[in-house]
Amino acid sequence: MGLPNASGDLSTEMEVDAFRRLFPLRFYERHLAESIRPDARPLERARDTTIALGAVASANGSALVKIGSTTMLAAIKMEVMTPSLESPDEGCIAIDFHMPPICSPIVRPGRPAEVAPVVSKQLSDTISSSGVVDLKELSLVSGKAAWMAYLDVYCLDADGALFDAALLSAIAALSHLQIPAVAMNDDGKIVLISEEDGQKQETEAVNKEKRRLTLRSIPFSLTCILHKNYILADPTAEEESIMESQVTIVLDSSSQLISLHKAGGSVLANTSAIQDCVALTRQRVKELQSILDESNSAMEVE
Amino acid sequence: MEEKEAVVVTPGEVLGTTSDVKAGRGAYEALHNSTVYASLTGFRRIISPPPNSTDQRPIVEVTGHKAHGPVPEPGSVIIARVTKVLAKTASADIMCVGPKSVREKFTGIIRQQDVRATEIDKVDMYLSFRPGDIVRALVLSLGDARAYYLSTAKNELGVVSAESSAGATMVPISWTEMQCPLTGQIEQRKVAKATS
Amino acid sequence: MAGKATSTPTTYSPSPTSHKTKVPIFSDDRVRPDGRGFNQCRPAFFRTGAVNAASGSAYAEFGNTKVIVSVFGPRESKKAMKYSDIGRLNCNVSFSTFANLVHREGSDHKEYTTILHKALEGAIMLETFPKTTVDVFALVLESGGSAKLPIICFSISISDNFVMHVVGDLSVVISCASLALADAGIMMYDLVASVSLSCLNKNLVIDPILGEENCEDGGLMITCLPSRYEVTQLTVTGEWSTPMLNEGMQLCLDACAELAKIMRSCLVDAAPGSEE
Repeated sequence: MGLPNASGDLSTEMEVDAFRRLFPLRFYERHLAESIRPDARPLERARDTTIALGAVASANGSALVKIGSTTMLAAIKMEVMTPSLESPDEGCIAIDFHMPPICSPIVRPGRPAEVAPVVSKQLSDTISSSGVVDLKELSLVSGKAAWMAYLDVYCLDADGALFDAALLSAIAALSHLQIPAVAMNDDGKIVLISEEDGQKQETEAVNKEKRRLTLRSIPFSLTCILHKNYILADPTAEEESIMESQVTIVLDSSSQLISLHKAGGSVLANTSAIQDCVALTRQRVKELQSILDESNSAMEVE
Repeated sequence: MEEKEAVVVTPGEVLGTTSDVKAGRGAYEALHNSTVYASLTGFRRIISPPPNSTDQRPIVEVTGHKAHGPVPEPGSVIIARVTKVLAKTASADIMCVGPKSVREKFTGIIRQQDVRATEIDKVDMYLSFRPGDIVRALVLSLGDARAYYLSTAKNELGVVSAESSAGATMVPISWTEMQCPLTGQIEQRKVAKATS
Repeated sequence: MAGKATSTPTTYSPSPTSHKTKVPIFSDDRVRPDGRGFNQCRPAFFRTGAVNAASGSAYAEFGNTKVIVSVFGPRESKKAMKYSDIGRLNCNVSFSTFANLVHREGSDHKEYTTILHKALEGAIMLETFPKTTVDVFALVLESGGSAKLPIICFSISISDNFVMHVVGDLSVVISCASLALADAGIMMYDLVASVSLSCLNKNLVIDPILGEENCEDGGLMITCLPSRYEVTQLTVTGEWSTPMLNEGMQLCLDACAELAKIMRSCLVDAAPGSEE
């Protein structure tokens, strides 16, 4: 700080975290000018990301995803429904995103976070428009029975980039999903076939073996913050609260654009900034794809 | 009699009996069984009593673990951001207690009679604070259900940082005035004397 | 649209084909369906610091029961609250949609919320944070009742959308919450440990799971300050003889003492510098 002024004096007298709390934007801009973020990341680097499959024992598919501190637990429960008249050969995926009070100081019981329904909608839109799951694969008996996949994503620790982590956990849970082996009994109800009594089966199996879904064109996303001329990839909650303009880009594994979302903010996104974000997302998709592949192959070895 | 080895204790662990030791920070004495217990997780430390003290029991305390975030107490010096100025009061969000930042925020209120030490009935709240100002203040009391009662009635208390209407950080030029470095415009404030 | 949330059709969870007749709960060798002895608790695992966004937190896993508790504060009490010279404790317990065998709307559990509050209140030094509030929020990720095996062998019909939260979950929530409070640096008189027990056919079975609890003649849950040997919460349900109840309470208190050892070692392991 050059000129002596009141806040300059203040910054020397206070602890760093107090200055950060009082003058968050000035604190950040000092860092950005040096091309480094307070958590020691370069501007365009995403945080460490991990996927653990099968975290929920009682679910048909599940995944625990961490991007930095942001933690998401996704679980899929398979139930049976009567398919609609319009699409008798299709099942359904019902996606819900939850922010329980444990995940953030801003959520209180009975007072849900405003972003939760937004992320929920973005998730279902992305999963459906990407066509990652062929809903015909969820059919059981045409017109009579089909799978309803309840896919619930719980945010366990909210530290920014919630949509990116939620989408990754949903995709990972889908890749881990095992569709149970079932048959239709005399009452027209779908029942589980347990492995040992598979032979003395009088009812006709409609799904003989446990199987996995074929995932096509998997969507991955990256959220960036635009602030002045800076682009910050994979923001923390603090960064999101200080700098408002955000762009979320969803690409599939072959780098096709699935969606682009800019949620307001004062910074106007120009073409070159968007192109930079797309380039960062393209890189990130490769990273995420290999993390997902690794966690899947680790499961197969077990 | 400082211990060499650091022993980690947890809440409820017995640290001694009240006849042998006195409870310091992070410890408490249970009267019903004359036992001293830990109330926090941390390192057990035994400190010799001050030599002139009548109570010659060593003090046992628990330190070194992260304590909970700071909470304003009567007597603490805090830093707050002014949120609202009315004719008789100014509201402020307490952001730091001492040098430590608080995780969320606590609401404080400066009443007209607590702005400065002299001529307290002539204080004009609007010429003392503006929303957005950063003030250093003393916590007078826990206040009421809504807010902690704060005071700026000391030289080193008052506005420590303020933005002019032009958006620049102003420079203090007297006890009651700050100046915008861009426009030269002078604005009224209850200015804090810089501590050095 | 993949998920037509507006017109979600009614769904059911496919039940197993084999309709076994009611099997005895235990065979003669005093071994329980999950292989435990009568006096054996499920293996307990604790870890503090699970949620960075919270002031303190803990994760607990007892068999199939998986719980996260976050602590926030001491922070400003809600505006509607009256002035209080001492601190406030505010609790909430909720279940995930996949906590049970059958998919359900995630929900707050009012009764557990009240019991958790009562169980913890006596252990916290409320006077150390006047006027402010400490929030203790628990999420049951998976219920001990969600284990597939015991349900099938106890022939509870799951096709009736049978949902039951086991008291065993609540014990885990309480113990986990006290660790989260310790992690948050909230001053406490002692940790809080909780254990439940079922009386089945004149047998005392500690730390029961759903199948067992559903067949019990009597249930018991004790929450205590293990080091001070004081009970903060005691729930007795069903049919008990006095000697049986006495024996049951002693078993629970002993189990609480064992549990407290595990909890303390978790805190010690997490303490800075304890690695050296």
